[in-house]
This record gives sequence, structure tokens and C-alpha cells, in this order.
Amino acid sequence: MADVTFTIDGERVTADEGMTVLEAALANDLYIPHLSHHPDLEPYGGCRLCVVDVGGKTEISCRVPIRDGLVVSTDTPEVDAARRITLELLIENHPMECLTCAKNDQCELQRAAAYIGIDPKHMARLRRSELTAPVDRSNPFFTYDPNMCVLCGICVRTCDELQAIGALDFMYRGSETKIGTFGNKPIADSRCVSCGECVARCPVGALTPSTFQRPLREVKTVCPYCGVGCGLYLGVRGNRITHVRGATESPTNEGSLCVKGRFGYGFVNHPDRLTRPLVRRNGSLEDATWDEALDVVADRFAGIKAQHGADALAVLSSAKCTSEENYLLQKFTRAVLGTNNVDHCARLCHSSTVAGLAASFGSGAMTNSIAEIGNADVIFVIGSNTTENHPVLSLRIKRAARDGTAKLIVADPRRIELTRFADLHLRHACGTDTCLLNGLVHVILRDGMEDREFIEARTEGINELAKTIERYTPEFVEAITGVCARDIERAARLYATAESATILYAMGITQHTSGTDNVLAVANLAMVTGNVGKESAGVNALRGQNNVQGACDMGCLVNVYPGYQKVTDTLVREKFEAAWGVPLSRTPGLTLVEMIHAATEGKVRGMYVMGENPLLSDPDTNHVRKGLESLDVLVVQDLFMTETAALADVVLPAASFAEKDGTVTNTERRVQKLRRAIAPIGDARVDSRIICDISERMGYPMRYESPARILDEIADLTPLYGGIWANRLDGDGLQWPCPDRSHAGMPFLHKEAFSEASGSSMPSSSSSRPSGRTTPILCFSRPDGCYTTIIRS
Amino acid sequence: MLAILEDITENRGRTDDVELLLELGRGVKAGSLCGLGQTAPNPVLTTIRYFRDEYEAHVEEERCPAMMCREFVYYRIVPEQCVGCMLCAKACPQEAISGDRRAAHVLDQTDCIHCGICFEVCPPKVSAVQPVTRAELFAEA
Repeated sequence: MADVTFTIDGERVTADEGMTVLEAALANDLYIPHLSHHPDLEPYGGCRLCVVDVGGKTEISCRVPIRDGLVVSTDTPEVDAARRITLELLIENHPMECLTCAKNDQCELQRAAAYIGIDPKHMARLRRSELTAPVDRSNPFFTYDPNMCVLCGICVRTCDELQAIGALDFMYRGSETKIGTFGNKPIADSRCVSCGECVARCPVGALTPSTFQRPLREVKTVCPYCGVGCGLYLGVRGNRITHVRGATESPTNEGSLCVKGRFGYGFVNHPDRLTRPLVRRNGSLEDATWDEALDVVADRFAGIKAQHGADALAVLSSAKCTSEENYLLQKFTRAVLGTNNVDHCARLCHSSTVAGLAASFGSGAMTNSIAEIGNADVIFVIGSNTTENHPVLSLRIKRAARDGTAKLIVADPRRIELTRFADLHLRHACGTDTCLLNGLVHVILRDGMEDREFIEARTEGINELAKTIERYTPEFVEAITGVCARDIERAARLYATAESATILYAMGITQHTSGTDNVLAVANLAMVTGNVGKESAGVNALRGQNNVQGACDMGCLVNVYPGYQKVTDTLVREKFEAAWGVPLSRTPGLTLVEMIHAATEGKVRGMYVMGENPLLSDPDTNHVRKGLESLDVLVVQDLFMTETAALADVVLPAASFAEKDGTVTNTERRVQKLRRAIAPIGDARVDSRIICDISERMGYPMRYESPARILDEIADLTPLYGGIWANRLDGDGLQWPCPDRSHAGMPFLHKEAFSEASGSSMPSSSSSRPSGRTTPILCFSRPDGCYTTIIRS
Repeated sequence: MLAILEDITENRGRTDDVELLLELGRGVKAGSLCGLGQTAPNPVLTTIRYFRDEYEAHVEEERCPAMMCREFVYYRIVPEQCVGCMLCAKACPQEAISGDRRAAHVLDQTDCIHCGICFEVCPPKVSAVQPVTRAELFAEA
């Protein structure tokens, strides 16, 4: 970008072309009073405080683009007079109780007043209005006090420009003007999603968090909720988290947060946290010391292993714990317990993705980066209620669709929020995803819209695919899915003719009996059009938990070691046996669902559950309860007394995300650093320490100076993580595959070739529901309505 | 600005209000992006330029030279001209006018709200009700 040089008050100033005078001044550390300017928003010019003299004319500096040779004065008598009266009028209608205001000393109005200088005697000539407008406290997370408002419009523009929600707007005219919602209803009854972006940007004390205490220090870490992995700063005082703000430098969220990330930190310091180990004695859980509890765990596990064999033990790992902890737990399971019975909740959400995409591309992860979504020409969302489950990621979809840079196709039986922005909404019947996707492929092949070159060079099985999808004519598909043939053809044309088209999907298509077929059909659609292996075009599975990708990568799956290295591969097994110094089991273990079956049959007798709550989140609660109750020993390591923990024989209090160091891997394969902000609550211990302590008691000492040393071991054993080294993660993190320490990571996958040497295959995903079925089917949604607010696992 | 103008017309004007209006008007002009905003204060600014004495009359002398601002217009009944038709007494919303039929009526200034209805209903041939300034009313008394 070209530099522009001009003068402000006689000083030469250089700034980027396209900036406004105000932006250029602020970039050069020259303060011009302003209220309605915000760097994230389009220039507005609402407050009139930023007036300057440009070449002899009084202008609003936030609306004047810079150009070479511009002569700007910020302090002429005319400028001073114009901004002084504006400021005086604002102050005249603003409460003077600065000391009791949450924004005290961070208030832009205070700053402007201090700079311009206000004479109280001079103010007396103005008529002070009565500041008695009712305060809106309807939202549990923040308060809106219209008396404090300076009508800068930053909240209105944030809600519209950045969030594409539009819950707030100006209402009434002249001196009656206020910020309000549609129909002047309380904020809680409006479209507002409580993301708090407006609260974070309000320059005065009008929008303030309900519970606010200014933090003493801030620690940069990663949000513990969904797979987007937003960077955030935890504000800490003492051993408490009192504030959260988004990290503007983070490539995943660029400062945005959703309601959970911004306000959902109460669980960390919640009084219900488990603070000491509990051991079941005479039928009830009683307080115990760590030594007692750990001895019980080690003895009981050793006993079961000796009596019933290693495969009578099973371990559930956690997508909420760090990758290091997941690595340690699977190492503990494989090296100490001697079984491959280690699994976690990904079995229930995206195991069909891993199976489907591994078959298609050789690697089951999101192929592109989150940042690339906004640059795609067509975004096809199927089976994902993105605005609710990945709110910050959905911003990129919404903005691209609203700004017209991308066409948005949404396939969902429900009229979800995203459909407001969609160019095309395909409302197919539940469970007919494969059929719909095959229908799209049929139209693409029928009309010759496929990418021949890509298919020839990089895929195999096109003929079988063509044969399979022959019968999926739009009319046939219409009869099954209920989507009209014309829309199917339109969707196929939109998708196939785009320069770059990206598919986003989530559990709406994976959590079906035909989940793997659905994923294969998605992959086929991408491959026939060549929309894989390039920027902004790919197949993107949106992962659920903050580290579900990491837990999978760390081999907390029954059939693979870290980095998806198969346990059945002798060479691989020998590598791990050498590294860990013990013989390892060569048979894949029991999956999460099989573990429960085996438990009811008495084949699994001891279970170790770290940070999961299968009783609440797994299918068939009664069956799970029966399974867990038939165990000889159940050990649960968690933050709270969950439903599962209540059944346990030993409950170990663990540390939350704010209490430990480590790394987590988000949905776009980005390995990011989690940093310890506070000490573990009460007697709780960091999960990695608990695992190492039990391991040591079972005769296999694992000692690591810090999580960074665990990461070193992971890097040594896992080609995907080969170059991922703690010291390299301080910036934006790294996106795997990252084979060595000079490798910068991969923003998108499969650029030159698919991971499988043979190239990708197009398995025929032929299954679909029989046609003619008319029974209504209930939609699947997560047990708590939207996302992990109740389910903490 | 509207609030200040209303105050001036309703006898709540302050001595420095005219200066304040000028200051505000200039501020609005300087800080406006569009032509509407840049010209919006013109009616006030130009009336101050050409009729400043009228503004000042409102604020300093409590009178409206044009006899348009209700707060500054008082009414009196000239007893010599009143024929006692009772039209004004019946019309007065405040019942501030008293007097017998065919006798001169009297307006009680403490109840008067300067609505001017009595002036409107008084037959033009009679013209017993007359608008006057405060100073004129009290000079007479």
C-alpha cells in the first residue's frame, strides 16, 4: 500500500493510502478528540468532535481521506469553537458521577473533555436535561443506561456491520433520540444474541458488563468453548477471573467473541467446583487426601489388570483438556494399562468425518483455514447451525453473504438464522442428506460442469460414481428430499461454476446412521468440481469442542497412535514401543459405545473418565447408567460433580483451562497455547500431574518438567506435529501438518496431492432413505438445545 | 436550539441565550457533513442578524414586539367599549371573566392563561378585548 505524506499542525506525517485524517493522526500517536470512530468500523462521522481545519476549511477528520500535501490544523479558533460547543452539549446531557462509573478513566468522553478543556461556569448557560431514562437491565450479561449514552452509534454499527444482527438502532428524533431495539422492547426480548461486542466497544459507560471488576493483570489464552479456538485475554485479580476480552491479533477471531467466550467464565471460580478428592466408602463419596485417592485408583486398576487382563480397563479422554494431557492419558492407557481402549467424545460427533474424509482424502480434518471462508465465492453449509454452534466463525459467512462477495447455500430442514443470509435454502427432509448431495453431483455431471482436469489428475473411481448417481435425477431427489428439482439444479450450478466453493458441515450430517456416507457424498461433491486443495475451497468439518481436534490428533482413538498412526502397523508400533519402553497391544480397542456395552456384559471392569460426562452426553442414558454401575471401579476426573462423577468410586478434582499451560488444536488444525492464569482452585490438580502420579504408582514413572517437554515428545513421535514446538507457538500458533521446525504450517490441505499415495478415491455413497417415506422425523439437536453450556465434557 | 427558542418565547429566556444560539448555530454548520445540516441553523442565525432587537425584547424586556408569543401577550377589557354581551365570559376556558349582562366585564389576570379566545370572540364592532404587553397592562394599573 502506498504511503501518503501530509502535514498535521506543521509536522510531516506519513500514513497508508486510504486512511482518513483521523486514522492517520491516531496511527501517528496524535490525538484528535473523537467518540464515534472505531477502528473496526466504517467511517461514520456521528459525533462531530473530530473536526479539524483542512486547508482553511473546517472538516470532520474521520470522513476526509488523506492525500499528499494535505495541510491539517487541529487547533484553530474555529475548530476549537465547533468542537467545544458539541462537547459541552454532550456533557450537559451526561451524568457527572464519573467516580462510580465502570468506564472511569477509560472513557472517551472524559478523554475528549480533558483535552478540549471544559469551564463549568461557561457550561452553566446550557440547560441541563433531566437524566431519568429507565436503565435496561433485562440482559443478564450487560446493562444499558441511556442516560450515559452519547449516541455515537458504535453499538448500532457493531451489531450491524460486524455481527450482521441489527438488534440495535437509533430511535426517535432530535433531543429524544435514543438507542433502542425493534419495538422499543427490552434488550433481552430483542434479536440480541448477547455477544457483548457492543459492550466491548462502547466508548462511555452506557453499555457495561453486569458484573465488572477491572482486572489487575491479563493473560492471553484460548477460549474453552467451541472448536473455533478464539484468542482471548483473561482478566485476573487475585485468583479470580473478572473480565474477558477478545484478542484482536488472533487470526481465528480477530477480536470477536461470542456470549460464551466473553461472559461464560463464571464456572472457573464457581463455588460448586470440586476442590478435594473423593473416595466412595460405605456407599457414599467422602473426602480423602490425594495420596489415599491415587493409591485407591492405582491399586484397583492394577488389581483388575492382574485378574481380568488389560482389556478389562477402558479410558475416556477429554476434548476439553489440552493435547499434552490427552497424549499422556493415551500413553498411560497404552503403556501402563496395556490396552488400546482409549476413546473420547469425537466418536459421537465426527468419527464419521474421520472415516469418510480419511477414505476420500486420506486425512480427516478441516481442509481450509477459518480466515479463508470469507474469501470463497460460494459457501455451502449443510448440517451446521453455525450461528449457534460456531458463532464467531459464522460472522465470516454472514458478512460475506451480506456484502455479496459470496453466494450462500444452506441445506437444513430448519429455518436457521443463516438462512436469512442465504441465496438458496434447501429444506430437505431429515436423513436425506446423501440423496440431496448425490442429486447435486448428478446435475453437475449431467450438465458437464465437472472439473475434468482435476478428476483425471487426482481422483479415481469417477466411472463408478457416475454409475451410482445416475438414478439421482433432480425429479427422483425431489421425491425423496422434498427439495424442488429447480432448486437442486440452481444449487448445483452455483456450486459448480464458482471459482472457489467451500463446504461447511457439522453434526447435522455426521450424527446419522448414514453419517459416513454423508461425509463421502460431501467429499465427492467437492472432488468432482475440483474444489479441494486450493485456497478458500474445500471440505470443512466444524469441530465441536475446543480441543476435539487435538484429542483426535493425540491418538485418543482406539485404532491410532498420535498423528493417526495405526496401532496395527508393526513399524509404527515398534517406534512407540521403543520410545515408551514397553510392549504395546496390537489390537484396536473398544470404542466409547462398545466400552459401555462391554461394561454391561462385565467384560470391562474398570473405567477412567477424564473430563467427560457420558451419562449426560452419550446416547441411551439408562444403558450408560447400567454400564457404569456394573463397573468394579469408575474413576472420574472433572471440575464438577457431574452425573457421571456421582456414580464414581473415586472423584479427582481437576483444573480448568484457566489453571494450566498446554496447547489446544482448533477446528482449522491450529495449535495454540493455553496459558495458566490462576492457580488451581482448592486442592484441585492439573490433569497431567494426576495422570503422571497414577502412572508412577502403577510402576511407570512419567516425569515432565513442563507441558512443553510433553510437546517435545509428541513432536518426536508424530510427523504431523514434527515442527510444533512450544517456543514457536507464541504468535498465531501453527496449523498442522508441520513436519519440521522450519515448516510454517499449512493453512489449507491437499494442495499438490492427497495424503494417500494412491490419490483420492470416490467411493460410491449410494445409501439413502427409501423413497416414498412420509413419516415426519424429529430433527436432531444437541441435548441442551444449542451447545456445550450444560455439557461440560 | 429548539428548546432555547421555546424558552425564549415562553418567558424563560436567559440573558446570554442569543449568544448561545449563535454559538450553537455556527457549531452545527461547521460540524455538518451534508447541505441539510449546514443550512439547518440558518433561520435562527439570519433572524438573529436582522431581528436581534426582537430576541432581546423577549429576554430583557419580557415583551414580544410582534405580539405573537402567547406568554408575552396580555389581554384587557376596555370597560368603556364593553357592551356586556357575555360572549367572552362564556368562552373563557378559565372562567376568568366575570360581569353581569349588559354591564362591563372584568378579566382576572391571575387566572388568565393568555389563550386569546376572548379576543377572538369579542365582536369586531365592539372590540372591547385588546391585546397589550405586560408593561402596558401594568402602566394602566
